[in-house]
Amino acid sequence: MTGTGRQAEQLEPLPKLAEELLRIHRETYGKGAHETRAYLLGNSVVCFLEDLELLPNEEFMLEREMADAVVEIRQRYQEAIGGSFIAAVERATGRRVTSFLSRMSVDPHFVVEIFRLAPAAGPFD
Amino acid sequence: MPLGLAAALPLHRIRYLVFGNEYVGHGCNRFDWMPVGGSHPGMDKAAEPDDHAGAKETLLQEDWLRDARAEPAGSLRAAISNAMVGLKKAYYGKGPVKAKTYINDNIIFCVLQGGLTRNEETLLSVGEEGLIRQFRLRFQEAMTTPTTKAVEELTGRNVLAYNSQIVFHPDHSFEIFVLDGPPLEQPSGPDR
Repeated sequence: MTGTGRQAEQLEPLPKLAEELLRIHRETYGKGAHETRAYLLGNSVVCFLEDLELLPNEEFMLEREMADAVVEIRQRYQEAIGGSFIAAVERATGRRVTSFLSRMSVDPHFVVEIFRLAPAAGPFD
Repeated sequence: MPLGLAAALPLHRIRYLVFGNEYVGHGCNRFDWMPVGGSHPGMDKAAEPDDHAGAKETLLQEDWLRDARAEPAGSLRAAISNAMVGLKKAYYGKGPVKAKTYINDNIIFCVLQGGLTRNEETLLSVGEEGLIRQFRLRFQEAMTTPTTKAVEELTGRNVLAYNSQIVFHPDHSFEIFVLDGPPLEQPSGPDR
């Protein structure tokens, strides 16, 4: 894809998907985020969980400079719950998710989820 | 209680339950332990009362409840249990649902049942016991000072060593303290 092609891609907000991913997060982690945004960009979906709500034990660990433990448990949780996130994205976009990545930032607290989609089916597929 | 004395007790007073890698005898006032697979002179299956059948294999819910009720309110054991539950609740966000403390001379052994957080339950459902244990042990490491301080204040003794462990299915966590002597507090009940 050329640089021109990338510029032509539209950033499409997916507010319902963002809410659905936040709901799953809240139900399976016990905490969510104060703000969430999701976008479709070409063959990718990007979701931000901004201003994460932390568990008391996570706050305690962060105060004691044990951020690595918090990041690891969040990371492994994202992998564990990845199937539910992928299903939500596939329902919202009608496209298959071929890969999923998740990263957490401690300062500031946010998570970014990236879903790579299979190419959209053409009219004759 | 020394192993020799435990061996001398009538069998109906001692019940062996598995706690992690240790057998814990209960039904007596203090807790006693034996290594896994340790033999007990005179102990054989036929000699055990019927209602204890299978108790060597697992901690039964009814055993737990019976013991929990036996812990007198206001005792040192209850105070230590409450302190451990309170600390977990305050700093972890969710406290255990049951707790029981055993005291044997200068050793304190506190067993906490339940209290996994939602994210831990999710991780447990995909077999991440190791990660939960690792996180909990890091957390307890950070909590060493307030935890040992609580026990020192309650017992009037110094904590020489402290360790924590967790097992799953069912989930139980264990707080283990080695004091510089038996607790100085006077017993306030028959089953301190």
